[in-house]
Amino acid sequence: MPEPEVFAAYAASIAERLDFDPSLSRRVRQEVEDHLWESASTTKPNSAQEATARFGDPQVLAAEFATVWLGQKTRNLNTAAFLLVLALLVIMKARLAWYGFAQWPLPEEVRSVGAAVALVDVYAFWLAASLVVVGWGLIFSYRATMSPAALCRRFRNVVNVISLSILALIVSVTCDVVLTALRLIGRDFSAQVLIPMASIAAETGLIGVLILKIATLTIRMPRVTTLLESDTPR
Amino acid sequence: MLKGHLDLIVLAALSERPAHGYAVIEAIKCRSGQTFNLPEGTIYPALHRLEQAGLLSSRWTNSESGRRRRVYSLTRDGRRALADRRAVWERFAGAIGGLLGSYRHARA
Repeated sequence: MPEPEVFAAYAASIAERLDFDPSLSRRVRQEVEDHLWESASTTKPNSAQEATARFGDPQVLAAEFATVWLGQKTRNLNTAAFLLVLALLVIMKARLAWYGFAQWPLPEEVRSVGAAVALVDVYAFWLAASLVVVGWGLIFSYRATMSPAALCRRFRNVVNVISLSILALIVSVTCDVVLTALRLIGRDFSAQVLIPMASIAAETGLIGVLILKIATLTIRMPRVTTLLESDTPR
Repeated sequence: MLKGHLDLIVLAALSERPAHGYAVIEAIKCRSGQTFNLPEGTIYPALHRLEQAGLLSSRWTNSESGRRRRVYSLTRDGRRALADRRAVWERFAGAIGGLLGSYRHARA
């Protein structure tokens, strides 16, 4: 002792398994190395290998870190989806209030089409909201004693449910675009026209942000899944 | 069994002062009379999880040897959670103590 290369290699063996999130990987590497050096200087183990053995199996520890990471990411995603549903509800209600205030009813000739599209809009929106609630249910019904592999499947299901919710919201916003277009047909361009158009742009932008979040998580998911679904006892 | 109480143990170990991971493990060993001798690495995922739950906060500092070190401390929510869990534990321990006491009494 000291054998810096043994500590560095051990810390790297955990950190490399966590490379799906570079900042987590860096943080864990530094914490582990600091711990091993402190342990070596305080308790004077017989060898660096003894110090690393006392720390634990790198695969098991990396799986524990990955479980915490995935749990946090899925909770954040579900919260973001919940806030998105809430924001879209407010925007849709505000737009309808604006139509009432500006007295912009649907033209008579497209009213039946409008009613059908509005029906699809409502069902798609509430389907999306229900799926977000299902996501919460999946998150809060997990037990801490579940194996990393079972937790991984659970969190992956949450991501799938939120993805379905986003699909339903895309349908809902597409219906909003159609309904807005039906109301704007034949109207002269004015500043008033910008209000519903801006609300649609806001809805699209918010959905885009969530799609980006899902895509980021989905890209990292295979590495996490490989780590958690390998045979790690808990 | 210890794993189910790990969060309470870590919160309690940090209740006196902020500490880095190694010091948390030492505090657990010392305050439990060497009874809880966990694999040292298991404490770190727990620290990360408690931080994400808002019960701990952490920051980098420099140790005396110049190495960067993550120091954890209880947040206000963490202190509240510790008080709640301590109360639950004391009720539980009291109840079990009562049961075992009467069991011993009956055997005697």
